[in-house]
Amino acid sequence: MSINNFDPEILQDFLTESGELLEQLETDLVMLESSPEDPELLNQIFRALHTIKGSASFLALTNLVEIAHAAETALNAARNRQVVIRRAEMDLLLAAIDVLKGQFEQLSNGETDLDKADESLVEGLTAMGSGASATAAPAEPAADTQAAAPAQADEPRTINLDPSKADLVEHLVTDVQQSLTQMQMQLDRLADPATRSASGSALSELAEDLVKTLDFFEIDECTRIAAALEHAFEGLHSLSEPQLDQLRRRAQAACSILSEQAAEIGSLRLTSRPTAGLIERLRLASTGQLDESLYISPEASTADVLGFDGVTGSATVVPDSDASSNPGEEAEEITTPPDNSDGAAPLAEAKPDLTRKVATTPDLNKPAATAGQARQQVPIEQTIRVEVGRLESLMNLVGELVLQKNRVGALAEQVGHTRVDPDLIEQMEITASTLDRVTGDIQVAVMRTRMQPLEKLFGKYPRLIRDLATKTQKQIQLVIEGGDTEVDKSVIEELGDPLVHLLRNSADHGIEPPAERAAAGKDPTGVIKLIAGHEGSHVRVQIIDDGRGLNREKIGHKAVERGLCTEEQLAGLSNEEVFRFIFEAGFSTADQVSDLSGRGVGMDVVRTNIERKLKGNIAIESEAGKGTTLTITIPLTVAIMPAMMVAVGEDIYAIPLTNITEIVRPTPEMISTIGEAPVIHLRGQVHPLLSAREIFDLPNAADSEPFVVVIGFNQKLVGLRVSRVIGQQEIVIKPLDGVKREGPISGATVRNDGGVSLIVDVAELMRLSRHSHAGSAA
Amino acid sequence: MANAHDLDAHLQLRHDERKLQGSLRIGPKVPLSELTAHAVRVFLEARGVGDRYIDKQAVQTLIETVHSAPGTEQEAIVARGRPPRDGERRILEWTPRIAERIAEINARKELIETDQAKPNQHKIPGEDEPDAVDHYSHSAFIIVAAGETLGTVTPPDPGEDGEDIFGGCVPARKSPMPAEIDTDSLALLPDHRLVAKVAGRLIFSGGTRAVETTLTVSGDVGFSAGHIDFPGPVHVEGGVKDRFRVVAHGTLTIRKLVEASFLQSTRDIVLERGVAGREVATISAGRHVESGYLESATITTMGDCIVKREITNCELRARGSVRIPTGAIRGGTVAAANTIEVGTLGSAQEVVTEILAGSIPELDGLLARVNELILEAQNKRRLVSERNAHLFKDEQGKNPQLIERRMGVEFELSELDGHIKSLQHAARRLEENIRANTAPRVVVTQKVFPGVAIYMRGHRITFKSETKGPFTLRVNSQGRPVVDTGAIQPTDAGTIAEVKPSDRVPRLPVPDDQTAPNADAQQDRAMPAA
Amino acid sequence: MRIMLIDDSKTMRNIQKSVLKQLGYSEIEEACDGQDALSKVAAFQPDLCLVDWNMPNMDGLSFVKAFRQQNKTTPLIMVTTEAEKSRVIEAIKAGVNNYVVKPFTPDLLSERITETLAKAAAKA
Repeated sequence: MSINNFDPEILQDFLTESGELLEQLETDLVMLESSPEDPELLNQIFRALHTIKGSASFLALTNLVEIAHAAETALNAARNRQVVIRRAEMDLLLAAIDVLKGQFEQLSNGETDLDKADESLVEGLTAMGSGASATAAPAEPAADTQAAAPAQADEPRTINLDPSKADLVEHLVTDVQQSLTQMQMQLDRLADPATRSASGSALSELAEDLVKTLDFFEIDECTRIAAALEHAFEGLHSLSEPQLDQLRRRAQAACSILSEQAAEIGSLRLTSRPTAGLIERLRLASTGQLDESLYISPEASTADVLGFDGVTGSATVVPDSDASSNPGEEAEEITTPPDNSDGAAPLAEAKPDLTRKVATTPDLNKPAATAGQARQQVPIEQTIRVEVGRLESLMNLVGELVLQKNRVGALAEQVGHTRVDPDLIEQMEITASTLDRVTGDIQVAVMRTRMQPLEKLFGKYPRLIRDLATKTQKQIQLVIEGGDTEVDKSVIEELGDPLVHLLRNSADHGIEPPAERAAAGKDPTGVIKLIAGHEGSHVRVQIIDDGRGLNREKIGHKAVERGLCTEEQLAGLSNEEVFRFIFEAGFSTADQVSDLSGRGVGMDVVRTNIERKLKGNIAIESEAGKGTTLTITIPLTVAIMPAMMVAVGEDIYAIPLTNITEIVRPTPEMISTIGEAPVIHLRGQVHPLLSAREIFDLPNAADSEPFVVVIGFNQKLVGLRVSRVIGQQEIVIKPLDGVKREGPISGATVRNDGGVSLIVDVAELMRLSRHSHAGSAA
Repeated sequence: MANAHDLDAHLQLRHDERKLQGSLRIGPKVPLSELTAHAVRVFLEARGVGDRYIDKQAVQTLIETVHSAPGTEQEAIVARGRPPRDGERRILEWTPRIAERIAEINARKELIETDQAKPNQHKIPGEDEPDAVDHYSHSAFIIVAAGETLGTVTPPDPGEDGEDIFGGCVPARKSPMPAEIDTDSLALLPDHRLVAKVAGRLIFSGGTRAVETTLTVSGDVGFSAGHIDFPGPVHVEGGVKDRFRVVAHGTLTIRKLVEASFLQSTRDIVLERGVAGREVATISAGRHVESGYLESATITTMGDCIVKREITNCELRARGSVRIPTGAIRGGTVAAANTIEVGTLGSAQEVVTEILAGSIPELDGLLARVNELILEAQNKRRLVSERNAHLFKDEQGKNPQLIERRMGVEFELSELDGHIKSLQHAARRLEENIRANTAPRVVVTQKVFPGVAIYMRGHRITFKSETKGPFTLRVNSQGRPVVDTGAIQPTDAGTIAEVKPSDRVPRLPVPDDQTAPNADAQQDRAMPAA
Repeated sequence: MRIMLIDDSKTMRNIQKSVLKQLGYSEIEEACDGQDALSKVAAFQPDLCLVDWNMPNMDGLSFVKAFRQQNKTTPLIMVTTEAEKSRVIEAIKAGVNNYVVKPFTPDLLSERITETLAKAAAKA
């Protein structure tokens, strides 16, 4: 069967969905290494592989199915505790993922003839899957022995509600059930780190509403459970994966109890249930204090959880086919081959039509395994996929809209100067300002459609660091924070490579080998932190390692050697200025060139990428023996930015507002020269002073330049002399692709009045100032 | 020594006893070289002039004058004695208020003296002679309050003796004796303030300063005395003239005729002769009123009213009883909370005479007004509920506007109900009050003429013909008027008189009287179910 | 105890006011819609609000949402009609503490007020 027989859209769907799963898989695998027995994690990985395999077999991607199947078999053994995943096993699994990734790459390049996986790899995985049969039969879940005392449910009692409240019970039940459904849905999403933070806050809100509602009806028993849930969702982000999973399972159980009780309340009856145990365990899990002995095994159904926590009478965690409670899901269930009889995995995030086809694919349509898990509801898709191209064009249109809005504003102002009916002018101004606001909102809304969590990027790095650590025989722990920070898609695209470079550098050059670390009195395991967060209108990404730090002398020596500065100049430079030399082209101080971080080619690319493409900057701090911190600051949006419009002679230029620290009209005393280079004195500090007329080579612009725009970049200030200051505008950046640039120009924009202005490239400007000063000092 | 002797011959001292001064004459041939200040002083001292009396400057000037004009005779005063300071009497300086009042009274005395021959020409001030002296609003008495500061007393100054130039004593004159201060009613404080110990009339002239607590007006209360507002008992030896006012914070006794004037007392009013009020006189007493007769006056008394001869054409309200057992009540309206005992009631000419027995007119009026309001509110309630009846018929009222209007109407009705309820409560309280404070009884010792109407607890009793007493009218436990004539059983008032219902003196519901006017107020609370 | 009545109908406010007066509450502020109420709450600092659902400019639910942004504790009683009853839960989630359906009797309203205040006091 050829892939050409398929609708390209289906292929695209497969690539997107399975691609995401694959990324997740990689993250999960690395995580698995630290907790190899985490049943939920194993389950998750297994399910992901299974889904990929299913989809691929539907598309008849045989080679892909083969390796996916082998990996899945191996994982199943681990899931059944027939095999423990140690480093060797992990390497095998990761290698399989690499093969899968390669195949995906081929697919997206339009190739249909996928590379076959290495025989030895498939064999290894298969051996892992079957060889494990020799090990002991799966242990009884620990939960069995830990079950809370079985409790008898009371007879339902009639609840006495105030007539006004009894009146609303019908609505209450509907609402509670709705909330619970949504809660269950969000609980499912909680398992996915990518959506965790969003789900967490959604859950908190849902629980809070639930508490409010139930409290109003004074059904204390239910309120207690809801309150426990509300409480439990407060500290989600700080939980470890297993604790979170336990919390999730308990929360699911609590929801099911509430759901049953809500149904009863509908007929003004209520059965008391001993929920204290469940509530307590929810609390423990939410604070990360749940004892492992109280963990619920992955196979346990919700009913089992309830039994285990003493809510229902049955205390055994017997897998229990509760298909009847979820009728209609049969068709959507992916069944596993008989040899993997333990557990049918529901298909998360898959499109139903695709899933159904998968289920009917002949070679997979084996008899369904009866031993089911607690089935999770298939989450309803809350998102639609939009082609990036369409978003881009929407962005461009919004950009146009912003321009037109600005023009309307300018026109309204002009009209104001004419002798038009003042009412009309007022109307016009009101309309213009409304348009201004609406446009602003649209702009933000559209920008947000392009926002994606940095998680997308960061998710790849645990694997990267793991590989590096393995190859360099170091022990490195990667700590990721702020993965939920959302940035524009273009930032994700442009930031990826620089981050990889920087992380490699840290792992390769920064973190010392364990022996060296131990000798220095450090923990043999080095830590690299990748921290992202918002900082005003910027996003800040930091790479912090606790390695050996940069060596000023080495870098300085190299810089002199390479003619970047003189010995004298070197002495006058701050540490940071010296460290910045590593960003210069062709600069590498590594004594030994490693095959990982290369020869230092790249650090200049890193800087160029960040400064030119992202309009961001990178700062470097380091302390010998303590570590290095690289801080990347990127403006939140790149397509639209506020700018100061300044005139240089007849021409008007735009300077990004974020870089402007102030605008001064200097007195003659404030301006002098050092050597031949002009400088400006500002509050006791001396900064380089450039003339826009000279920089942009406008000899005919005869005017004087009475204003100085003080521009800050990368903790340095420079003054730029201009003829006039026009005002602030939001400008849409038009790239100058294909146009030869003269001077420090990063792009162009269309002004309010319809004219075109060039946008000053602040980073380039800074470099110019450095050079002119270095030159004059030499 | 010879020099001095020589000089002496040319100098001469002259003493003026009256002016207490000495002058020195220097002859024309005085030896100029010997004439020095010292020599002159020696000369003066030798003649007994005290050094402290010598005017040294004058001596020097005199010597210089002689030197500048030798051969002339010169004279100047060169010594002065000290004149005596006479003693001052104690001075009582009144406060501005008192001083002003004294001045007014004195000024008025003169006016009255010149004016009194034609008192009828005095106009009521403000009417058509705005500048005329207001003889009514003045009072001949200064009334002070207890504790009031009346003035300051400057203590007497005994004076100081003087001296002549030889040191001889020139005695000072002593101060005259001051007026006496009555220490029972006045106090002289250490800070020299003169303060009234009691309230009353200030005696500010004559030999003694005092405050009298009882005001005795020796003549009429008229133009010479002016209005009286006295913080104690008042005794008027004469009568009270037209338009004058007497207010007493104690018993008010008047010997002679009370004309169309205004009398008020916190205690009893005793009128030894009587009142000829000309339908203007107003008399009110905190306790009893006693009078020889009352004619054409409005009398209000918190206690009894006891009259010897007759009550003619008066508006009389007594919170206690009215007793005129040997006299007659003719014309007017006489109301009493308790017994009205009268000899003859009405007149042969059948003058309209109203007797309100068991009445407290203020409360009667209030009760009537409250009952009126209850009726009004009940009518309004009926109206509102009838007009909005349609709102309540439509029971499918899901329309929010309709619901709100309905609630509005219900609210209005319940407000009205609350209003009615509180009015009814007020009516009950008033009725209780009236019942507790009245005992209606009319005792006629001689006879009653037609034209007399006796009102009593919702009834009006009239007489068709002259009816002889003695008899007593009262209400029985059922609220019916009955008559006691000395027989064993009282008979219904209808046997001797015509009895009709009237609320002039309101009917009071007797206990378990279900037909009382307001008892049915609740019955039409046809509140539709909310 | 300061109480704010938020209703576009003067009649309804009068009814509520009379009930409140009978309960002994005399510090009463009135507002004729949600916006009016929002402009007054800061100065008045109510201890209880009665909020009508249906009002011009800003309805009761919007008011409750806006009010709850700044004030989490002051009890709110929603006055609704039969028609809005299905949305009461929504109001409760927005932060309403109790509700009363029109038409109500003064006794019922007074009962609601008392019970709401008692509950709020118990929480405080």
